[in-house]
Amino acid sequence: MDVEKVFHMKGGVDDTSYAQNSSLQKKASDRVKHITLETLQGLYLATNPETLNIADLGCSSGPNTLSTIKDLIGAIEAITHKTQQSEPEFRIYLNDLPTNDFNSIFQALPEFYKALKREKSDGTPCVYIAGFPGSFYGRIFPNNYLHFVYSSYSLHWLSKVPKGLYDEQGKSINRGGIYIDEASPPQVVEAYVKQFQEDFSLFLRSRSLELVTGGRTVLILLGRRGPNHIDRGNSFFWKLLSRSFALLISQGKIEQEKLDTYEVHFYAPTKEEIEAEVRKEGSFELKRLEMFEVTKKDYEYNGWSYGTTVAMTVRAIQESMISHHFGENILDTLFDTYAKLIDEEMGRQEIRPITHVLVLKKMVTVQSGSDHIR
Amino acid sequence: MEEAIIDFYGTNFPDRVGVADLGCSSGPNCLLALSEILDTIFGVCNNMNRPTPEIIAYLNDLPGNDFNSIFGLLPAFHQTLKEEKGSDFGPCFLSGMPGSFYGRLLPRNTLHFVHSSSGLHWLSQICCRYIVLVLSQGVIEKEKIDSFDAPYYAPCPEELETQIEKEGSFIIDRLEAFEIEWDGGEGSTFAKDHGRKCDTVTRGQRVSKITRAVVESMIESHFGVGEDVMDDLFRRYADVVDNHFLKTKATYANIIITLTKKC
Repeated sequence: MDVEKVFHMKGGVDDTSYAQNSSLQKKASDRVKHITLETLQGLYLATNPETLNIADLGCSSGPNTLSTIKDLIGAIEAITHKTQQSEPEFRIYLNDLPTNDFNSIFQALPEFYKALKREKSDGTPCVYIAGFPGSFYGRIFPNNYLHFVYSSYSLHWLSKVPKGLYDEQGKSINRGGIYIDEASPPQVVEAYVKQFQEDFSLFLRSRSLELVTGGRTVLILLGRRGPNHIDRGNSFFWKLLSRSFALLISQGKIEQEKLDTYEVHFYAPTKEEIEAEVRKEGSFELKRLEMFEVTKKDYEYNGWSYGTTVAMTVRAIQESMISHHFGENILDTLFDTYAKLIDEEMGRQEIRPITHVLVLKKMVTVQSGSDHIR
Repeated sequence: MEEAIIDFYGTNFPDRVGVADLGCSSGPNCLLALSEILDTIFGVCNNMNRPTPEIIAYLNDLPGNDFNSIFGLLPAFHQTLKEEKGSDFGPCFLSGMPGSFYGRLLPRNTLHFVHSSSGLHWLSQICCRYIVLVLSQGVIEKEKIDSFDAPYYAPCPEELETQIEKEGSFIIDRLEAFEIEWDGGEGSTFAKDHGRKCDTVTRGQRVSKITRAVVESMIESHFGVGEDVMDDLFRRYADVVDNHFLKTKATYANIIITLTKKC
């Protein structure tokens, strides 16, 4: 399955859309908002640019990206208001795969600009927003184009399902699992690790060319605590989805063969794995790397159980891939089952996925030339 | 367009070139203008044995435009660029820039070429006359018809010249008018492109489809009519236009203008 052609968050605004089911992602980015805004403010004070070029990589559709943009603009206004300077021009570049629902973000822009105007007492900020579609595993922007790169809840998605997962017949060697679990042979783990290393290092190389010297990045992504891939964190959520598929197979709703050929293009790195790639690439100074949890205690009751909220969140993300592979008919049953399994497991023992927040400062471009966009 | 690009690029060789297509719309033609611009830059650089610049392309239209369908075409567009021009071309970065071109879209000194091609003015002209005629034959309130005004203006070359000179930033390199038949002419590939034999689609039906694609949202918004009424409206409109073609040749005027920004 060509991830770039199939994978996208569920567009639109209906009940199963990403727009309606991305509150957990918002909780995560809000938790570290102070880090994001401080980093941007630090950059602005150090470089004082007349124009501030900001990219959101993996912006998706839904309200989160414009909410972040508003906060970023507000953070700079707080400085210029205090120092009585004139504000910079804001150039905001929204990036996601070409299959993303950009229309819904663009349609929200007139109202967004009006709201910015309403909230400012002394003139509208000068804001230009454009969409740059393409995979962030590779070049999206020209050289030295950006001051600030933000990416939230996108980098745990790999560029593709690792090739090493499939045998010559196209069958997965992962024995009925869809991610790394207890039954996964070592080659499965190696395949995922290798794919992450290739992808993340390409991400860093590309951003290194696109950022000005002194530019900053704030990256928020799912991860794991320790070297063991099997934990009661993100990998456990995939294990439960695997079990949900297995239940549907036992009910005759899915063929075993379909599950045998399905794997997710996801990886939850450790701190050390992230640090290693940053060090290896060499352009960036690692300013900050912290872990935090977004768990049931952060969840605000919305009429649904925690399990249903997580299931609907995952559905909005995975629906494109699952319906492409298994068909649409099983979606409701699959995610009902998944929601129930999550609630049951949470009743036994909490599931505690972790998130990393990573702040990098571009020091020098190590390689010459450019990795051309694909 | 080629002449304008050759003219500029023949004497200036910026490392980075900003290109915009204003009112790019969506559909299979939306990347046509950009393709031609890139082809021309490639040709000029080849002839002068120079490397191609980095190109940033901004595809602009109103926020309600279907940008998703444009972006869906981009992977294949990049692939074709690579195959036809090789990996050393560019690189070329493509973006969608939503907003009205009546006002600022981009930061200062971003662009080297701006292209804009709009058929709205002529479509609205024939539409206003015949749509109103067809509507008045139906069950639409007179009040609604009387208050329907399409937001267009079809200037003549002199009016354009006056405004350009008044604003003062641009020199006019070329200003020409030419005619095209309402449906693109008998030799048009419209019917072939849509998998139909020419003789099963009348000229009026072709005009009706072209018009509908542009004005439907305006009519829906003003008159609040449903799909059945819309279908009926444009069926009858096609008949009216076919009758018109029987009596007279029907053409509309296009103006092409190339400008250079003064230093």
